[in-house]
Amino acid sequence: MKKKLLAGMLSASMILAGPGGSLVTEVFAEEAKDFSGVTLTVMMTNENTLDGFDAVVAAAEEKYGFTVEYDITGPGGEEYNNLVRARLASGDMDDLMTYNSGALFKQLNPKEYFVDVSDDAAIVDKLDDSFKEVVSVDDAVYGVPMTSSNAGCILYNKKAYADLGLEIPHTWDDFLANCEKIKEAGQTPIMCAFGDGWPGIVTQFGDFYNVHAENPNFAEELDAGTTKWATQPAGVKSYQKVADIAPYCNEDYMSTGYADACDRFAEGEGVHWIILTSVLSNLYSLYGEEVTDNIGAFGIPGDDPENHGLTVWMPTAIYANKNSENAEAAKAFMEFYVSEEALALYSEKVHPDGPYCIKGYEISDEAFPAVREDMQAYFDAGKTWPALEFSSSLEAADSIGVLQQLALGEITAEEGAKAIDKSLESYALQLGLEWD
Amino acid sequence: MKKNKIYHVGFIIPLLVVFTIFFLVPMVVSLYFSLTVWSFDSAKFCGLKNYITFFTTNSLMQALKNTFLYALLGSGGITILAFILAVFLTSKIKTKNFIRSAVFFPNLVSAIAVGITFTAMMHPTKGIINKFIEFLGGTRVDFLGSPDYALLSVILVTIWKGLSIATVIYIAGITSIDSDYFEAAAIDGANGWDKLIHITIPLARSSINTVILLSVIGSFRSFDLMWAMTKGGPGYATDNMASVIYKQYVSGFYGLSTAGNVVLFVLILILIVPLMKLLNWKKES
Repeated sequence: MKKKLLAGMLSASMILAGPGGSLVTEVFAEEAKDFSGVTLTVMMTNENTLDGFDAVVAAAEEKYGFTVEYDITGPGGEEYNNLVRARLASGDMDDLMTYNSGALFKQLNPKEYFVDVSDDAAIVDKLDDSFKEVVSVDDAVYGVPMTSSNAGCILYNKKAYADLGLEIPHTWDDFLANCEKIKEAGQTPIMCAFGDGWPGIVTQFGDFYNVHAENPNFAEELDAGTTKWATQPAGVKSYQKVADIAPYCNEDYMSTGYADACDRFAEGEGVHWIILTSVLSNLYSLYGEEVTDNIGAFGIPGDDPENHGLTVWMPTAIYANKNSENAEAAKAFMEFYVSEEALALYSEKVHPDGPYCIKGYEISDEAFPAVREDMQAYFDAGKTWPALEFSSSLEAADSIGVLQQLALGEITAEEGAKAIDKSLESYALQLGLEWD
Repeated sequence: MKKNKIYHVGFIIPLLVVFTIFFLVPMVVSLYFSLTVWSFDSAKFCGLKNYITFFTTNSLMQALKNTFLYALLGSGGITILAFILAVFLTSKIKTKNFIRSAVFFPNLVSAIAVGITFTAMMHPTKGIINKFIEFLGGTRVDFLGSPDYALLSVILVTIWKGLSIATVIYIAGITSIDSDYFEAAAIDGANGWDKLIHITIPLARSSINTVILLSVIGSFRSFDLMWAMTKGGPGYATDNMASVIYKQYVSGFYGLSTAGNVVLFVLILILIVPLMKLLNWKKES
């Protein structure tokens, strides 16, 4: 019995490994290097919409002769980030890694682990300056964008807005007034999903444009310990917003998770949803354009109607492992990933959740209206700013808990901001930052 | 006493080596790492700062309170309910074997699966439990979304899941009691209640002690079921020591979470040693 099992396992693994060994390579472009026989592994989460990535990978395999294997480890978030740190430290990293850009990436000590592509014009000349900034340390550039950018915003049901005669609010008070009207009309004003961790924190994290508008040096001062959330008026207000929305949420807001909320928002429950625009791709693949065409977007408003902006999340990036024997092939893959050819293949399969971070590459007319029209307007007006996590590494691990307490009305916004400050203070020690 | 020494000391060396490598060394090493800011490849000594940080963690007091409530209600519920079940299952009933397997069933399912299943069943608007309550004319309860009920809901599921092992231990204890005692008592005219109080409970004492110890220790370090159901939420309503430590660990603060584990270890030690003494003392008297 054991022998049979072993034989079965062996033949199964041979089938799995088969295509890699027997792939016959044709080199189309003369300048393309031949990496036949090389197998590139990519570490990633299971939360990516892979249609576009798959198309690019297939073309790259054909062009360079290597095979690409996905190493999908599970859900993203802190557990994934932790696995990345452990694998880097133990020398067990795949050839390519997909990971956040910004402060989380810079914490990894990139110089030790990743290929610097700053001398490769085919890559760096393509990257948008704002993106280049979040994957660079000193003068070295390490990553290329895996997806389009993303924004923390308020999605709204266009039909419901038209039926109720509502206008897009440009201040937070106007937004709450809209919610009140929707409530009076007997509908749920805001879809809230505090049951899963991250959907519940977008309201506060996505309000960073307004905090930054009040104090442009907030991130630096927070890192230096000279500013606190509780002493920054706009900072406290961004916590207040979580408490403000609670009365307008669906009844079961503490038990509703992301997937559940997607279904219900698509079915028309909840006129607003404060969430990342990446939900659009998900809604599109579940329900098609009938649903996504009915969704509009606006940034989380502050107090100044003249300065209504949008908080942007930079794309996840692809990095090449410097210590891998396949580093050269990995770099070739990155180079191909930002080429015109790859971008065309990618955008054919996937609609962007925000502008691409590639110079001169425009959003196509097929993109979601919320992205093509609503979001693009903020970019055109220059009214966007990257979320705090791209400029400061101080992110409280207990944000989720504090924001849930706020939404439940157990604590006030001031107490919430103070609780975050206190936990940041202890975490500054862990990150080796000098705090007072 | 000397009679016990017929074996050479060398015989315990293999076990001692295993124990040292896998238990003693990691314990000492973790004590050291709890005093550092540690990122796998580098460790910087920082004195007791990790412990100070840990004890000033925002949710620690709530977590401590929850841990004790969890241990008290969870192990209390398991100890008592499982005993009642075991007495019932050792009595003369027809479908004994079927019920015994049914009781053991929850133990075959992983805690994560149980957690996810109950989360779905306890959903405030779609869950089957609330549908049933509504059918009976009651009002819906947000079992896991309301900070007032969340901890209690998790404890109830813990009891449901923990009953099986405890019942099996009890059944083993009760069936090993010599039937002569019961027959003698019956001749003396004792009723069922007298038999339970004066024969079953005293003679099943050692299995009662085992169940209490196992369930107390289990609930102190319990984590998986709670994490699958609430992730410590809403707010910090169901956070316990283990989840506070886990949250710090996934944030990449390895030194800090190691310090938390040392604290948890000491805490369990402080509570369990006297508890064991107390239980053994009762047995001897």
